[in-house]
Amino acid sequence: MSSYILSLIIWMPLLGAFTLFFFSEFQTTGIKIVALASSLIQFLLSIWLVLGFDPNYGDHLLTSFQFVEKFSWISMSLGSFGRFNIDYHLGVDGLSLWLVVLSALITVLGVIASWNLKQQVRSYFMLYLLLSTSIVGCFLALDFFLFYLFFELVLLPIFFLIGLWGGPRRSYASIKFFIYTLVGSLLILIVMIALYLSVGVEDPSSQTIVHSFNLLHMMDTNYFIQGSSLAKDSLLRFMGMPLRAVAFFTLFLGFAIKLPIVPFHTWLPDAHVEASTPISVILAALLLKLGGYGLYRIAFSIFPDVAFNFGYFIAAGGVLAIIYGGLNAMAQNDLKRMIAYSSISHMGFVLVGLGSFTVEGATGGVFQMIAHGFISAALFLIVGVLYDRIQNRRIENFSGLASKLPGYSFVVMIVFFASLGLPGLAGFVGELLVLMGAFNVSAIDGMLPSWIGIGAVMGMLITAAYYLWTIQRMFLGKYWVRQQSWQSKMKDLEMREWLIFTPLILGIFVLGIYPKVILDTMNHSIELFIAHVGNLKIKP
Amino acid sequence: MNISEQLIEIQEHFEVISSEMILIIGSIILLILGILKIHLFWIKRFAAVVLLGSFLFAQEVQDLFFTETIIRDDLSYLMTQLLPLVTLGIFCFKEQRHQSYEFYFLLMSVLLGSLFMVGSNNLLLLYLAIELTSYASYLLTGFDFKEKGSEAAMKYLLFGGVSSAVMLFGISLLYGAYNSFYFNTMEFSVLGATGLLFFLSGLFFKTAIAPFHIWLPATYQGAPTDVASFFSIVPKTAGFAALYHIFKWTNELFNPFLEHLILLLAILTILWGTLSALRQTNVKRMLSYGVMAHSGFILPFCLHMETYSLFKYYVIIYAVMNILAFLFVQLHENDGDDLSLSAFSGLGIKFPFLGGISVVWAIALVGLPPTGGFMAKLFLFSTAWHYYESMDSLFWLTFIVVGILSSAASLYFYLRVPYFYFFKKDQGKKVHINKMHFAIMILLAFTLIFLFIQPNILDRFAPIINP
Repeated sequence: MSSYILSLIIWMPLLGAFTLFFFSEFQTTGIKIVALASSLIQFLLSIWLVLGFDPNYGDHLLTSFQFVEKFSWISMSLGSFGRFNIDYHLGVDGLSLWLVVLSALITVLGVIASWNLKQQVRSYFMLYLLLSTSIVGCFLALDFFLFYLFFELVLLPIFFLIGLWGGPRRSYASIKFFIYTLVGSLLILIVMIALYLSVGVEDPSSQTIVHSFNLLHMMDTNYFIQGSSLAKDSLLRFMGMPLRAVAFFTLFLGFAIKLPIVPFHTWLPDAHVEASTPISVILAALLLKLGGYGLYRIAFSIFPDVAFNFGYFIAAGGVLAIIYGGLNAMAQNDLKRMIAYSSISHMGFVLVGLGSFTVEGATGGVFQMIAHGFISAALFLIVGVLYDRIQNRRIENFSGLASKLPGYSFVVMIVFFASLGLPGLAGFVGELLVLMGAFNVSAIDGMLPSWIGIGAVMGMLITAAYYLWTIQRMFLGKYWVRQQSWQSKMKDLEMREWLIFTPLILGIFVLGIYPKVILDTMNHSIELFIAHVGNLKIKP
Repeated sequence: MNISEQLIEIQEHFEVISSEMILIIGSIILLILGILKIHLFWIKRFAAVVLLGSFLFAQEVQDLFFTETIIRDDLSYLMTQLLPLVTLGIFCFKEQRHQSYEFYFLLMSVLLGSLFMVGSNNLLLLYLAIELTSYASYLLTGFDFKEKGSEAAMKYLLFGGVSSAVMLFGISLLYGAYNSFYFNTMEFSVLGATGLLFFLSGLFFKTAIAPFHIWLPATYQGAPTDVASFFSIVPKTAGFAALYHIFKWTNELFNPFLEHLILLLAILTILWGTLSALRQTNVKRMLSYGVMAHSGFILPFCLHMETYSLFKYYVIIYAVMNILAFLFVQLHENDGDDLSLSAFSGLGIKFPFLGGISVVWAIALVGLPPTGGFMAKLFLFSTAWHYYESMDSLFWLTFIVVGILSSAASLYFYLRVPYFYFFKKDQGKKVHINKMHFAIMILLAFTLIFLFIQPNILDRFAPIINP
């Protein structure tokens, strides 16, 4: 069974979704239980995956994948264009391992967070479970086609989940989200096709070239067909640029829209704000990571030579996101909007870490993604608590909540401080590693100028500023809320909410105090990743 | 070869056009049955049997026949297999007022014309086939006998007449240049190029390639929905198959000029179709612009005979998607009223399953996974990239970029039906869909999804003929 564990993890939620066909619309409790059960099983399986994971497996990026499953899926002839080969190919390494665990955990918490849902429960959970399948599928796919399938499959459920169960401007937000991210994935599609036609092995029996979507082949320059459009010796130019560089930037843009990077971030505040709480949690905690993961696994691993030359550019984009997102967050009156912008700011660190091309930076980037998964989930749930009670979340409408809602305020303090990077909490480690990477590389070979690191630190200051300011305005001082009618509704956290917050806060503490748990399992993979990028760093 | 030898040859060759013969005889019998006032129920069944017969008797041969007038190859084999089935699919639409035995006769005439269009290796035969298709189409357009339909038929007739004249002029120039009507006798000459240009303009009128498409939205909107669906598949794909046969001989001669021209027209068609569709509020009009964009996608591949398998996948998947989309729209019409998007408002709450089906065809037409539409687009762009790579041609690259961008834009309008279905307030519209239609839609939707999971299955449909 352990050889099919990845498939089980991916398809478990979808199985749950199919089971829901047998429930009527009104058996809401049963539907919720099925959803909870299938996501819980997925989570337990992912824990099992961690236990069976060998942190020092493989000595090269291409051979470091574990629990590999590979079957031929589609193989069809396209006449004189050779054969179309698509594999069902899964595998996990230190990079994706914790992202899978994170997705499974957030999915479970999301189900609990949607427990009070009343309208169209069955459709909601079917879409929700489909979403979970596609997100985990993205993290585990080793075939570009399979990855792309899951990547696109994410869009539809999210579109409906925002558009049907969202806030007042939900239809605008959902369409905007769909169009933006579809443009991103179509950019990825072009590169995928070009890569597919450039990568291949000669079939010894028939002397024909068999192309494939295998990501591992795409990462290995030996598999590129000589003279094909994306081979290193390609002579094709697009507007004077080598096609490999163009392809890298196309991929980069595709994933960066998802991450998101300024100025392609405008879908994010709308989508996050209009989505209901559990969906905002998924969006922030998991969906943004698809962009980051895609950059690591696909854009950088396939085009390391190009990426290496543009580290400066990428890191600068990261700093821009950090500062721009932070300043925007500071200007918001809506708590949820502020948190949405803070996500943009935090994902900027991933880019800086990647752009530094150091083990510290890259590790920091991944760690930041995981930590942000916990923290942003908690942040959106915090907003959800307030919104559930009084359908309002404007910062200026509250004051002195700490005295009235001590439990809630306790949670808020921990999460806010984690997000602003207080040592001992999750947010600190990732940012520290990224900054180490950025400063190291500027000290050693001057690849990145030191202002990148300084800019990122400035961004952290801005983060601290808006969080502390928010705490001061909302939680400190004399208790006051804008409307009389809200008084009676302001109750502290209930059991179900504690149930959601506890694992997140535990995670935040564990990641902050003892990050070794995660760092040890992913360190080897990151080293291999950087080695892979470094091997090819000699400029042609 | 003297006349008697030719006659003997013709006699022997009748076997290879048995599909067409079955259609001809079948439609004559159908007319007689109609005159005898046989009940429409039986006439419809009879027509279905005829179609099945022409599907089953499609001949797997590869050669020139009838003194080289008729060509049989993979393409014509595919079309004689696919088009009768598509027509059968059209029979499954909801019966509206307009059905009578003439209706089925006309459908079969268009089908017959389309099959001859694919099979012709001779300009005169091609012209006759196109005219047969056109005349029957003019009549079908106005077949619900309403003002809107008559207007559409009139427009169609006028544009069609002009394009026939242009085409005929082109044919006469070609005849003047080569002293022959056969495709394979062409060689490079200025007069020939001029003739070809006129001839192609006429053909592009018929296949609605920009800028010769002006008649298309009005005609599709005015025509009964099943007829519009039929138009969007049968004569259209046959037209593209005919283009394959023409370009097979001419592309080499007029390269690269012809290739650039066709790519430009294709890009223009995609852009025009997509951008116009964005502004439509009428569903059929919107779909018709979508059809136009789809023809832009497949057009440049007609230049290269080796893209046959791409054409096959694309056309089959396209046929399934379009039947489903138009069927879906037709089932929401009450008595042939003109459907605007707002008619779909809020139905999703009452009919979530129908909404799901609308999502399937919408994303299939956009080209998103997990539907066959994605596979079609993937093959298409891979082939386009291959040409870009091997020719280093900016035209092909532009085609790819425009195609990809227009796919993103097309999401916006295709998704409007599901969008109105789910996201808008209910307006209390009543929809009655019987179980049979429901089952057909589910079947088609699952076919689309299955064609994503296992596109290889299409290899078995009309397999490539081994000479």
